[in-house]
Parts: sequence; structure tokens; C-alpha cells
Amino acid sequence: MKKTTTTVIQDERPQRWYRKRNVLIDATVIIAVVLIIAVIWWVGHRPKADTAAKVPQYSGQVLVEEVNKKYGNHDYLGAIHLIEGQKTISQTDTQLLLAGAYANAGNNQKALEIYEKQEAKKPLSESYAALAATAASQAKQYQKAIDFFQKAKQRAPQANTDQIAVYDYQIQELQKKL
Amino acid sequence: MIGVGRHRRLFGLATLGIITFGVTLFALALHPQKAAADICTPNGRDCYYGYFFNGYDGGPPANGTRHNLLTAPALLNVNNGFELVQNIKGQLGGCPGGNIPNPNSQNSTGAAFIVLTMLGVTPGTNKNVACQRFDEWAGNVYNLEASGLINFNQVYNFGGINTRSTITDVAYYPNNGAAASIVFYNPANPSQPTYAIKKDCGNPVGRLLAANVTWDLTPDVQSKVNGVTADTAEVGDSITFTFTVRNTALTDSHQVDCSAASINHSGYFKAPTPPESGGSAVGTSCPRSFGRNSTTTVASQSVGSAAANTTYCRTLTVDQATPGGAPRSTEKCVTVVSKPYIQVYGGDVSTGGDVESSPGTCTSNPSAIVSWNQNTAASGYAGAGVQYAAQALGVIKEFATAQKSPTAGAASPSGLAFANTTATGNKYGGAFGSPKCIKDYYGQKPATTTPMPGSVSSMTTGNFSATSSVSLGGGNINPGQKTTVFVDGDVYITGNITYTGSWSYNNIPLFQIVARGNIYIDRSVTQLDGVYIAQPWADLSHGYVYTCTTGAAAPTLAAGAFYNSCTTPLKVNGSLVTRSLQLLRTSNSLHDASSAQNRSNTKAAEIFNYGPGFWITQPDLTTTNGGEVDNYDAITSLPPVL
Repeated sequence: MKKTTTTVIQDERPQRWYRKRNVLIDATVIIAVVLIIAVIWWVGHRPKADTAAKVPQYSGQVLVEEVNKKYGNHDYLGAIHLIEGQKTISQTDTQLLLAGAYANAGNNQKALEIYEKQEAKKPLSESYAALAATAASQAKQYQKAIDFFQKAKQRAPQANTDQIAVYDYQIQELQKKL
Repeated sequence: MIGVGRHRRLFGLATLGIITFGVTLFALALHPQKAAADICTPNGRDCYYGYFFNGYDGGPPANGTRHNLLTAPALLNVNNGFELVQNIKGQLGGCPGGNIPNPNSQNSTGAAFIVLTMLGVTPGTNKNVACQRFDEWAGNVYNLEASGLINFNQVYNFGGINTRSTITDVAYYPNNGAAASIVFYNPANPSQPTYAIKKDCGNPVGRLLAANVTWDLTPDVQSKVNGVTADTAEVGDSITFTFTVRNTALTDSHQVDCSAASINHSGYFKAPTPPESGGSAVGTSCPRSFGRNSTTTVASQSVGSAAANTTYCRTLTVDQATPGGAPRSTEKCVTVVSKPYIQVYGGDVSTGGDVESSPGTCTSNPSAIVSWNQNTAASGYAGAGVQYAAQALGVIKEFATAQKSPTAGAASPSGLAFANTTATGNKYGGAFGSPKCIKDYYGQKPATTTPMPGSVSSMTTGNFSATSSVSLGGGNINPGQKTTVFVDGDVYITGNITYTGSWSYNNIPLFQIVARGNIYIDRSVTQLDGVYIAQPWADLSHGYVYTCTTGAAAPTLAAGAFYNSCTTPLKVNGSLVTRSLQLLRTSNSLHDASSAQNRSNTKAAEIFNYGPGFWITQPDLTTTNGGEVDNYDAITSLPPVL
């Protein structure tokens, strides 16, 4: 039998319509990839489920009183849950209340992290700096505790020598532990 | 010259006025008038005014030149009630002689402020009172601590009020913040903070309420008769009263007084509301503290042998039932009663059906069977009961079935109580099936009867009748005599009706009374043989059987009426069919009952003995079926055999 062969490779430039089709395909692929990346990014960064709606919403001193009620019932986790469910959770006052709740629940490390975060945003008041120091001390981070007590001391009215003495006392006690 | 002088005077006056105005303004600025009320007022003083002397501390700026209540380390090292008490006592200088050695020192003033405000003392009180009431305050601290109502290390947001010292006095001032604090909670509402102290300075913070303890005391008197809780006793029983006080609060009470008394009444007496006063004092362990959420026995008293016709009452009063509250009292009475009971041998007891309106149809009547039973397995459920079965549409209460049951037979008390439910307390069964109708016996009255004579002794075999209420004297029924009496009215039986002699199957005697009305049995009657039927009227009135009367009328329920008059037992050898059986005999009492007793020596007040002779000799009252009276073709026994 005689074998027959067919040439399938041609050394010819693609026709115009063929090149246009390739561009379209490339563009589609690029758009698809971008869309996939966007979806993945959105999934990773979409807003968390709104827990705020799951707990009663309070404002200001009313929230403080509700939290105190939880403390009275030794329900520290309930207090944390209540605060974290507030729509105002990103506000400084609520964050500081949350830090206190973590400290009361015994999670001083978490409390300290919140205080540090707030301190980085805006220097804490004297009393919250002292609370941050106490949380740090409880978490056995004595140097941080000393630092926060120093800040509290600096931010206290200098005429209040009693309070200055309080901070000096606490710094002194912490230095013994270093 | 005159004009110049006038101008100078005017100028001088104007200058003087301006200076005066300025000085006044300056004075007002230095010492502003006291506000009507401010954020601190709920604590007892307006802001900046001293708690002890009501002096103005200079006002804002906050934290200017004022001091902490306690100098460092203040309460930083306090982590329990003992440390707090010791610390404050130290700040008060130890309170020698009930006074503060140096009342004008900063720490003593601060400590006195803490003690007095925690006790809720009025502002302006002398600082030494803190020493004089120190033990009370310390007791409160320990009490609250034991109840878990103090958090010694809490981050507490004090919501706008702080305190500060002027060395000799303490004032509230506006201040926001949060601090590590000792926080006290309300025993009456544990989620409410009442008092808080900032640990690093000893300053009480926030809205301050008295951190007092509370209590809520309820007095109670329990009675036991022969060791079992009861409020009735029988003659000769022993009665024990236990006086208790329950504190439902979360904290122990302070020393509270209580008083107990015994009051014995003749006859029946119902404990009144409010409880009566007076009586003989019963010794108690009061005054005393009552532990939180617990019951304390303060006294007990026994009556060795209960006397007839007596009600033993005991009262208990606590004062104060709540802090500063009114007294509370209670009274418990145990009445000495007789508990006569009924026993049925050889037959069953059934309740629930009325007289039939047509064959098998009648009004449902959820009636109960109720009597007195010792109601313990140990006693063999001695007392009221039936040898065989009992069924009722209502409840079967303290009426045992299967009494004298053979070994491995149905168990008393509920073994033959229909429905076959397990005994619960003193309820042995009941709520069984549909009504078991009472046959219309009076409707079977023969067309021909003989007028009824005045006593049974005058009757012979035959049917007798009366058309109105009658009085019937007793008499004997001889062997083979078969007498039936139809009365369209009430029957008052005044003497015993007795089957005499001995008989065999072919000469069994029969005596029956069918009354369309009530049957009254005189108190002197001790034995009735035969069948006694009391049917109601069409309006469902009447149809009652009274087992103890003094005439042809229902007895009056008066004190002692039965106890004194109906002490003879009644034995019915036969059966009773009635709309309502009023068991009024008072012979003996439940505590005389024993499971070892039988139909011969039972102490029951009413004894019913049924036997084969009654149903063998109970043919249809008429001959409408074509047969003859007392003429069976055959007799057989069908299951179930109970």
C-alpha cells in the first residue's frame, strides 16, 4: 500500500480574524482570573456576621450598668458577649469596657492587648493607664506594668501627691519582681 | 465749687458701688451657692460638701489639692473580708474604748467614712460611731463575703461619682472612670452593686447604697402525731411540735428575737388568721442569727398523751422578720379526734351509679369511698377496708381492698381497688369504668301487698308496704321466712332486726326493706340482718342511709353529737343499697385497728358481713318472668372470682 502524508503545519501568518479571536480569549481569561481573585478576596474580607443584632443594645451608662449586673451574677463571659455584641464595639469607651470585662474574667493578656491598642490610638487617661498596668502585672508582664504605671503617674494631677505616692508604691513593688 | 463737690460725691458713690459689686461677684465665685441637687446628692450630700461637717471643700477642679481617703498602699493588698476588716480597723487606730484616737487624721477620717456609709448612717454622724458600730460592720462584711456578694478585685466603672478627702472630712465630687475596686452586691438583688471602693486610694466610688445584709424570715410550726406529720391526733397519741424559722435571703440575719407559745383549747378550734396571742411561753433559742437560705429549729415541744375533746395550738413569732420590718407569726393546731372506720367482709363495695331510669341507664355520679386507714404497710393497712374489691367512679381514699387476702393473693391496699392503679399516698384507686346503676327495686313492688305493721316481729313471709314515712321496730326473722317491705317514704328503724336460729340451703331467711326515701337507723340499733335499700325520689333527693340518729331525721352536726351518742358499733349482716351512706357510728378509733383482727373482733364502728346466703336467696322480687319467688333452676360461679 502506498502511504499518503498530509502537511499540517503551515508557515503562514494568522489571518486577521484569527488574531482578533485570540485577543478576545486572552481578555476573557484575564477578566475571569480577576473576578476569581476578587471573589476570594471578598470572601476573606467580607464583614463578619452581625452579632450586634443578637444581643440587646445599650448605650453609655446603661451598658455599664448591664455589665455590672453580669458581674454581680459572676457571669463574666456573658459580660464579654454583651459588650462584643454592641454596635458601638469599635468605639474607645466600649473597647475599654471590654478590656475591663476580660480582666474580670481573668483574661488579663487579652485585656492588656486592648489597652495597648487603645493607647496606640490615643493615650489612655490616668485611670485606664493604671488599669492597663494592673492587667500587665496580672499577666506577669512586669516591665509593661511599670511602664503603664509611669504613664499613669505622669498623667495624674501632679498636685495629688497621694495618688503619685500610690503609683510610686506600685512601681516599687513591681521592680522587686523583675 | 458746689458743682465740683457733687460730681466728686457721685464719682465716689459710683466707685463704691462698682467695688461692692465686684467684691460680691468675687465672693460668689470663690464660694458658689449650694446647688439644689447634683449628681452626688443621691449619696446624701451635694458634691464638694463634707460628709461629716457639711463644709465646702473648695469645689472644682477635680483632683486639685485634695487627698485620697487612705494613703498608699490603701487597700491594694486587701483580697478578702478579713484583710479588709483588719485594714480598716488599723486605719481607725484600733478603736480603743470605742473611739478613734486621732479622728482628724486623713486615714481615720477615710476609714470612718467607709464604715458609716456602708452602714447607711446619716451624714453628719460623729466619726466615733464608726468604732462603736465596727463589729456590726465587720459582721456584715463577713456575711456578704460568705454569700459571694463581694468581689475584691473587680474593674469597676464608677459612673460619675468619686470621693476625696480634706483630711478631716470627705466629700463626693463628679468624676468618671474605671478602677480596680472592691465591689459589694445587694443580697436582695445580687446583680445590683451597692458599694464600691477604689483599691489604690480607698475612695468609695459610684452611687453608694448601704452595703447591709438582709434577711427574710418565715416562722413555721410543724406537728407530728406518733412520729408522722399530721394535724389530727387520736386520744392517747403523742404529739410533737417543732418550731422552725426559714431564712430565704442570701445573707445571715442579725440577732433576731422570736417567741413561741402553747395554747390548748377545749373542743375543735381552727387556727385563726392572724394567729392568736397569749398562751404559755415555750422556750426558744432566740434571739439568734438565722443562716442564709436555711431552716433553723428554735424549739420543740411534745404532748405525751393527747386528751379527748382538745385542740392543741402552738404559735411562733419572729421579730423582725426583715431588717427593720414587722413581726411575722404562725399558728399550728392539732385537734384530737376520733377516727371511727368501716369494714366489709365477704363482699364488695361499689359507688358511682344512681338509680336506673331504664334498664342499665342511670345518671353518672362520681362518688368516692372515703374513710380512715392507718395507711402503712407495717400496719397491714389496718382500718377501713373491704375483704374483696372496691370500685368507684370517684376516688378510693384510705379504704383498703383485699384485706385479709391470702398469701400470694391480691395485695392490700390497692390490689382489688378498681381501677388497678398503684396506691399513691392515701389514694388506693378509683375513677373506674362507667356507672353501675342501682336497680329500680321499688319499681318491682308487687301489685298486691299487705299493710306494714309497726315492727318486724309482727311480720311473716310476704310483701308489706307503707305509703308514707314510717317507724319500724325490730324483730326476728325466722328460718325460711322471706319478708320484703316497700315504703314510699322514709323508714326509721328503732330496733335490731335479726335472723334467728339456724337454717339450711332450703330455708334461708330473707328480709328486705325497699324505701323510696331515707333510712334512719336509731343509735340503739346494733344489728341489722337483711338487705336495706334506700332509693332517691325522682328529683334525686332522699335515698340516704344514716347509721346513727335519734329520730326520723338527719342528725344535727353539733359538737360531740356523734362522739357522745353513737358509741355503739353497728353490724349489718347483709347489704346496703343507698344513694349516700352516712356512717355516723363513733365506736373505737383508727388506732384501735389491727390487721390481725377479723369480723368477730374487729373494732370497726360499722361492720358489714355479706355471704352466699344473701345472693342465693335473692331471686327476682316478682314472678314476672314466669318463675316463682326463691326458685332457682341452677346456680353457678363465673369468673372473675375476687
